[in-house]
Amino acid sequence: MSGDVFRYDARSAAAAALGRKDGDLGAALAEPDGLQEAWERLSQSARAALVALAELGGETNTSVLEDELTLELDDTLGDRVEAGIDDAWQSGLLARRLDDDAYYLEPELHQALLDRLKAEDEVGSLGTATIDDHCLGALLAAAATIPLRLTRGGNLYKKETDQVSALVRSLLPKSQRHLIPHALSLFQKMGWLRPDDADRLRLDGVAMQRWAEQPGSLRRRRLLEIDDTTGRAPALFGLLERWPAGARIPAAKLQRLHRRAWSRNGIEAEVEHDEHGRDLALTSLLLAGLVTQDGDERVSVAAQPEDDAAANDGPVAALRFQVDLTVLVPRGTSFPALVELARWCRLESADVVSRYVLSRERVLESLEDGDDDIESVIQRLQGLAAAPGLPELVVQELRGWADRFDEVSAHEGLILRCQPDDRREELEAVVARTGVPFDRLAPGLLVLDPAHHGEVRAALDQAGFQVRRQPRRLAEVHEITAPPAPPQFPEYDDLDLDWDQAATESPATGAAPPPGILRDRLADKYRREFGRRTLEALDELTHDELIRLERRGRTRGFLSGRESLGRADDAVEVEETVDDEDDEELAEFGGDQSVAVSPSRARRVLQAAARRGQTWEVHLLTEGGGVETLEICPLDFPTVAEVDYVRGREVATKKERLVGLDQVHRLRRIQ
Amino acid sequence: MTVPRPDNPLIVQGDRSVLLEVHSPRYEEARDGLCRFAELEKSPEHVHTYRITPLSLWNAAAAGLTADEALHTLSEYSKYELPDHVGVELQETIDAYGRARLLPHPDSGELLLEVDDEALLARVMTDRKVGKLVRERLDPVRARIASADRGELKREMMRLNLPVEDLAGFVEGEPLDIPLRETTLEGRPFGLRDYQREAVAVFHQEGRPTGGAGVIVLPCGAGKTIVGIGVMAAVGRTCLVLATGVTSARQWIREILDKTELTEEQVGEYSGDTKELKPVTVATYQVLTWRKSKKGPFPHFEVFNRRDWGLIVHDEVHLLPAPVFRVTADLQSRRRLGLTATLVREDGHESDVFTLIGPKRYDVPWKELERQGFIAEAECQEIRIALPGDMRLAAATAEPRQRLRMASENPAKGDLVELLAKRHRDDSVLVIGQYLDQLQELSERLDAPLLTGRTPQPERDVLYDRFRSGELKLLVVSKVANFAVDLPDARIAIQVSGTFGSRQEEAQRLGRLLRPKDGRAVLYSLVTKDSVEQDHAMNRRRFLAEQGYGYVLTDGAELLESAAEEKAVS
Repeated sequence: MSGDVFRYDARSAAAAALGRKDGDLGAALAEPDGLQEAWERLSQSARAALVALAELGGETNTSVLEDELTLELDDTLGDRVEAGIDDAWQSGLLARRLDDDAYYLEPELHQALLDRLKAEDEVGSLGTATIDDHCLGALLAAAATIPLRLTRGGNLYKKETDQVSALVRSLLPKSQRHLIPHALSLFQKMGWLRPDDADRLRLDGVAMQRWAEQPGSLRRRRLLEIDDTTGRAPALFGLLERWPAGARIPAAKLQRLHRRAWSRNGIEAEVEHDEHGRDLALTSLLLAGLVTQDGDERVSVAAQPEDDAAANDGPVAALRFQVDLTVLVPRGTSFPALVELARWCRLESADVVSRYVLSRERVLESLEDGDDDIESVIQRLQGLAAAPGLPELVVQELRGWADRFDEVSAHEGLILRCQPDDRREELEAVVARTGVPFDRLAPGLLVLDPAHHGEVRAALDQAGFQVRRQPRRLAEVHEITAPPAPPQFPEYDDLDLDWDQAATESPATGAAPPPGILRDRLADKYRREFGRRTLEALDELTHDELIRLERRGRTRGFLSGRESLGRADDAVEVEETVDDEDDEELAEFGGDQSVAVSPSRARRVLQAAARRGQTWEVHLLTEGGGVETLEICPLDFPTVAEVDYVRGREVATKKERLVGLDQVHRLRRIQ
Repeated sequence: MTVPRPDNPLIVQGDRSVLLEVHSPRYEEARDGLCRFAELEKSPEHVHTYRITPLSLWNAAAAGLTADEALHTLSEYSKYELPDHVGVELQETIDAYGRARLLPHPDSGELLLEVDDEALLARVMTDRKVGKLVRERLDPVRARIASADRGELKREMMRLNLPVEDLAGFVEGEPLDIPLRETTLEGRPFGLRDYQREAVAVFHQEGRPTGGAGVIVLPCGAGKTIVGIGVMAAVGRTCLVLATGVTSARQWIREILDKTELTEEQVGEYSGDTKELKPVTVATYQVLTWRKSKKGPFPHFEVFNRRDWGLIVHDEVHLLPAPVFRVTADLQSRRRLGLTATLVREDGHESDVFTLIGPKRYDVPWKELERQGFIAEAECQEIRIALPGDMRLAAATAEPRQRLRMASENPAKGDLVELLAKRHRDDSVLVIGQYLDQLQELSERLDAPLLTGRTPQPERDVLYDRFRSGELKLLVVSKVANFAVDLPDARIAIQVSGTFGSRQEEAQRLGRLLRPKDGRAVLYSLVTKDSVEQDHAMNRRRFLAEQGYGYVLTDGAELLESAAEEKAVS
């Protein structure tokens, strides 16, 4: 140490501060409680001054120390800074050099203070990260289990976030549950949770799997990069690397070291906080599983994530599958296995051993999302299962689920609809000329792949059709066309045709319409009930067959399809059977008194009545508990918003009316 | 967190469940320690689940276990460090037991409530309901309680999570010597099995006040009636047995006469048909809870007071009706034994059973008895069969309740029942169902008698006797046969329909088959494929899967097809 000093003997003063009159600082520091007792006598700001100086290397000029303390004590007025330095100096522990306006610590004292600081960061038992792989896997599975939706503002509903929180509560102490919304938001940023058409968030199994197969260290750092909005988190993590795993470090100290490191590089480090005043950079570290919260004011360094890489490559056959479809998932299960499970399972409970349950819905979703088939899923589950493997019952259940997968599929399509009757054939011809494949649902109603929208529209423009630029929503089309025309064939009524007789007449005679019109009308009538294959079959029918089919549709509301048309006798037989059933169904309703019916029976009876074009007395229960009686001729049976209705023409008003089948409680046939 | 100890078999979860790995070399010692203070919840093949509940801990504390012993067991066998809160809660819960005690009042026939400290007594007395039951505060830690309020006080204290240690003792009742026979009336050797003897001893505790009240849990077929008779003999006092129905009551009487030296003059039936009050009386829950009007008194409750009973036995205690709980609350000075195969109560009255009957005294896993050969080995097969084509459309559009009914009454099940009945023509077969129309149809189709709730008792007795004797091989029964019907030779049960996913029902139905016999018993469940019934079946079978019974899934259509092929070939 060179230069003049303000105190006569800094070493003696320091020794005296530690209770040693003989000036032997080394001996004073060797006393077990020497430093501790002196430390306890100091004010908080004096302690801060000594700590700052120790961490600044044991020697620094006054302005640097003052700046440091200003930040440390958050003291913009400087009163406490000044008082702190003065107190420390008065105690004798802090020494000052006048020539270069610097403060310093005697080297032994500096080392002792550093040792003390290090001891503060005690190394505990190896901590598990707050959000380790086990917890992260459970969170992913919870996100797949709770139907998460987005608000209009794009946020998650609190109620649903709370449900996720409740599911994983055993893994995350209450003080850490604030991380859950943060984690769910991170999952969205990572692309693992994506909103579907109904704004419900669904797990993207493929994206998760790709990420899961990376080594643990890379995964964690990637999470940190994506989550950290402050830019500070990686630097904080860099600082943490100087401590061994398990070290417990005061969060304030970490922030202080970080701020100092940045200020040396001329960067002003602003600490950003969340709405609860928590340091966002530390939150990112917690979320990435790199540190563990340890009480309110400390964090500890988590186990080195590099270790996880080995776990990813190691054997994963550790899961216990049970016949009730639950899966026991112990802590330590490889992360890719956890992610795979989240694709096929719901989370039942999260704990040291978490319980997942194989879910039909999730398995079928995974098939839809890209798993080849159920056998490959079973094979992968076999790979995850501890000896003796997947129980046979579980395998059978999985196969059973897949058996009915894809029975009904939904397809997106562009519907072209031509209103004027006389241009329908023209429309079809123009579309056919483009070479774009399409299906003809009915005359003037074509469906084609939306990808060809522009091409077809251009062709139609050229042909003189005026096509809207934006397709209408189907609901709008319904609004425009409502109320729908009665489904039967009004034109034929005008012809006053006796259909029973018409069928026996030669197809070439009488008032039968030409085959093209007949075919179109039949297609129009039956397309909903029988789909495309039957409609194609219509094209192959002779005029005679078409007339017979039309007659049956008119008199019975019944279509037996192509096969029965090919074998007229069979078709008649089937018709008779239906007739017999109808007779039986309707027999008891012909008396003077109405008969009580359930909604399902009301449907059957009125359907039979519609086939015969009969008028019925219908007794309805009104909302106020009264009864209303109507006379209607039932026409069809639409379902709106999952409620079944009968649409009928009211005799008194001649208007159509929709009546809920669950309101119908008695029926009587009038004619 | 300490490093996991992979060889240890226990995993203590934060929700206070404990997983026990069956294949661990330390399994048996860990199980023996754990089962003292945790309830076995599930015991599938590989990992059993126990649960530590306040009741299980108080049951353990009642048996003398300390918190330190329980914690030592957990840490000794645990793979991972115990979750902190589990240790704390366990300690607090066990400590709560015995902080309040009921003692006989030295100078009167009344009782003393004694607590550990003044603050505790002050706290419980501020509770409105407990406060009302305290007649007088005698000193800072003791209060006087009327004998008649003994049950009510225990219930209310339980509500405050302060289970009362009942040391007030019992009235002795009229003495009655009940020697057990060494050979039955039919001349077969008779003696209690080891576990039955153990259950009796644990319950009775040589007549000390710490024993004499509690529940013994044994699987169907393990001889609960015999244990009840063993307890009667150990107590040696007059006894009132409460049974679930007349058939069950008569079965009790038959067994008592067959296994003890008591004579017909000493054993009576108290039911709708007969009103006998003898030193040993078997009454039915129905007659006890009968009353003229909905709000009128229960005239037959007087049976509890007409004799100075030394022991009251509640058979199938999980079915104990609520009014009987009320009267049981007034009978706390009598020794009482609950017998059941499962403590699961669908109405959540488990804590009433604990408070008013007593803690669980003895329990043994089903599979353990199966391994020892005391109950029959059983196998469960679920056979799935689709609805016939013409019904599928109707079922798809039916109301949910109707849909379940259609699935339950799936006509295709009839073919399967017929096939199974033929396959097992030499075995005793029960066809069990829920819907009377369906059962009627099956009864006609199989040409087998139908037994339902409407069947008069004499006719039931005849049918049971014929079935028991082997003269009748096939019987169609409604859910009336779920409980307490002793059908010793039933080897096969075919359930065609059931209530909504009741685990208890599934257990009881399997229980019909578990009485020891040569060969394996089979429980077939016929379930309509791709229907809501299939989901319910999943729930129902959960209980048995948890007990370690494997389920086999079979396709009903394939079964019928292969049967048809076999027939064609032959």
